[in-house]
Amino acid sequence: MDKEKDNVLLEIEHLHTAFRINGKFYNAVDDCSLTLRKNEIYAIVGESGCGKSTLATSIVGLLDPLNSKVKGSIKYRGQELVGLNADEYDKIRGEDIGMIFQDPLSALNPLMRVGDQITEALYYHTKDSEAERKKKALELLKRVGIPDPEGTFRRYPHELSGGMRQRIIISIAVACSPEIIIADEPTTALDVTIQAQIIDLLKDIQKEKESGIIFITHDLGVVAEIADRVGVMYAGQLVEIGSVFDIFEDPKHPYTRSLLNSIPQAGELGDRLHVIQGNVPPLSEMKRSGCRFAPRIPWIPASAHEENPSYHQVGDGHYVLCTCYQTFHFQEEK
Amino acid sequence: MWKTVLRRILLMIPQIIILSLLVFFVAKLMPGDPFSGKINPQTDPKTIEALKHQLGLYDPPLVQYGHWIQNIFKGDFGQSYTYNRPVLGLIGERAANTFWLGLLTAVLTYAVAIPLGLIAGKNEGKWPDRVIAFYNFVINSVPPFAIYLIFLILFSFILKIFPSTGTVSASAHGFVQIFFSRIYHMILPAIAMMLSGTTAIVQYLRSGIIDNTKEDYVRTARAKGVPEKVIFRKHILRNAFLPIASSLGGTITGLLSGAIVAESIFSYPGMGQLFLQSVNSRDYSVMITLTLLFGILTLLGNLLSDIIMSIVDPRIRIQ
Ligand SMILES: Nc1ncnc2c1ncn2[C@@H]1O[C@H](COP(=O)(O)OP(=O)(O)O)[C@@H](O)[C@H]1O
Ligand code: SF4
Ligand SMILES: [Mg+2]
Repeated sequence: MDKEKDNVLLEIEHLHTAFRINGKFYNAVDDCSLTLRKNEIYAIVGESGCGKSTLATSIVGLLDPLNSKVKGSIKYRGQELVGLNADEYDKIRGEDIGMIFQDPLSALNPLMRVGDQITEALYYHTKDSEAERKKKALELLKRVGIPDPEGTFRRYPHELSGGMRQRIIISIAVACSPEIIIADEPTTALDVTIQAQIIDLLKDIQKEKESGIIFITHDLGVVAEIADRVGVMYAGQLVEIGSVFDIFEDPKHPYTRSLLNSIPQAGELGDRLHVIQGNVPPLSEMKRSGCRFAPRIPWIPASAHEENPSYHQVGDGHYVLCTCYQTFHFQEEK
Repeated sequence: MWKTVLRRILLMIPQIIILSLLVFFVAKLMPGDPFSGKINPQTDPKTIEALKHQLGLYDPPLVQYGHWIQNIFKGDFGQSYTYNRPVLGLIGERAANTFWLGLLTAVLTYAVAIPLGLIAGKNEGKWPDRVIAFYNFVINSVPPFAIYLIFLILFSFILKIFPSTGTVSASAHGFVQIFFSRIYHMILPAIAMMLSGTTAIVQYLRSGIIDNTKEDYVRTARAKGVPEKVIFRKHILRNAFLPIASSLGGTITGLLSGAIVAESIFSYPGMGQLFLQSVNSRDYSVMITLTLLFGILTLLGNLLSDIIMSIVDPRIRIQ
């Protein structure tokens, strides 16, 4: 039991994050709970606009406090993060939780040498001297696969390719060996070969540091490569949670099944027929009662849906926010 | 980089030649001559004709241009008809006056605009931002010459706090007294010119701060655990100042065109006042030399902008 407790890095319970739109607050993350353990890569997958980035930014407390509200609980090793002030959060950000962002082109300060952007993280979380910080930064650059660490240290972001910049951002995120790394679509902006390299790098770093990673993506293909556990997100809710095996071999929720069918396989365009059409609705137009996914599968009779969907355990650690999975079929199936 | 700067300076030579041709011939096309309205109507027209011949006003234009250029290379920019003295010394004196006025104006402009921009940018939408937006609106809706006139009438004529003419009072002696007397004579036109100069800088800085605060790299810095104050100073401000740095060279042109009107209204004996006078009295040599000088200063201002940009922004290489 103690050992299990020791392993838990992050415990999110009933997290609600709302944004102010035209004076009213709307939940973009709506009652999400998840547990991240040591040595675990936890993927959050879902279409654009379903609340993945909001979840990630809520964890590191980087939302604009004037236009957003966070409710619920986010515990890092038992310490409550919801409600921390900026100074308290600054001690945790960078040191205990590192963050990697989607767009490496804009995530670095264009006027600062990349070396200084790495040592800046060390400056606020270690007692290292300037020389030690530089030495560490050079080691980090080497670690993330930068061919010429000395030269790159002095370069400006615009002198580096997208893949190289993403490596710099990774080295910033892991500079202080945080226990948790949150990566928000770290490969989306990169081309496919670079994507694979970055994924391998993250996996290696995770093994080396025994950290837990929350890996956010809209691409189930990437999930298969990297994840141990998966949370499938739709309209601010985690509609299915399970091991990577559960999700790929025994998907339950219609949304998970649709996402799986949209993965291009061996050069083909995926199972076009069995993909559910439509988009995640905007926050202010989102249906808040009953099932949020029901409008996208109108051919399923209303009686198949729960009035207030709740989690159902369908296996060891496999949960689904749904009952209709028993009767669900794609529109083209009879 | 200095090689590129040298190349740019060399490239300015053909531009200056074209400018000089343009200036010279446009000046020749102007109706009237230095004698219009100046000479006693009883003077024998033949005497005037003789004078005009003597001044070379009947030579073919290209010959006149040739003479002019030749003389410039000898350091002779001609003679002011109005002041009856060599143009070079006259402009030199006036240029010094304008230089000090321009410098004071520039210092005041940045000293006022930067704090205003900072306050507005840091308090987006709150009352200090609104007050500053109102200030910008008012200044922008009054044309500069009107501001100059209002200042002149209010502070010199009605309140009589500042002199309405000259650069230094005759009674001032010694460095300190002369220094303060000069500033005292410049301060009214300088403040008036400063006002219209501030609005663009305030606007640039304000939106620079607001836009950069939303940038991804600021989020990266926050995710590193950098304190908010340091993020503002080290990340946001530096980026927000870029547009201002790039406009530094352009302020030379702005100050010159401001000086032409302001110096005339405030009777401040600088290049600007001299320029308008020279146009009115067809004092060709002065007018042409000043136009050429303004042109060269503008070109240098552009070059200066590019040099500053290439220093402060690593993404920009001077070319
Ligand atoms: N700052 C914000 N203000 C208002 N709405 C926002 C804000 N950020 C995100 N949203 C909305 O919240 C929803 C979830 O967005 P996001 O978390 O970015 O989704 P994802 O990362 O999965 O694409 C979207 O409908 C988006 O428009
Ligand atoms: S069964 Fe119906 S209510 Fe439940 S999740 Fe599926 S679509 Fe929604
Ligand atoms: Mg996102």
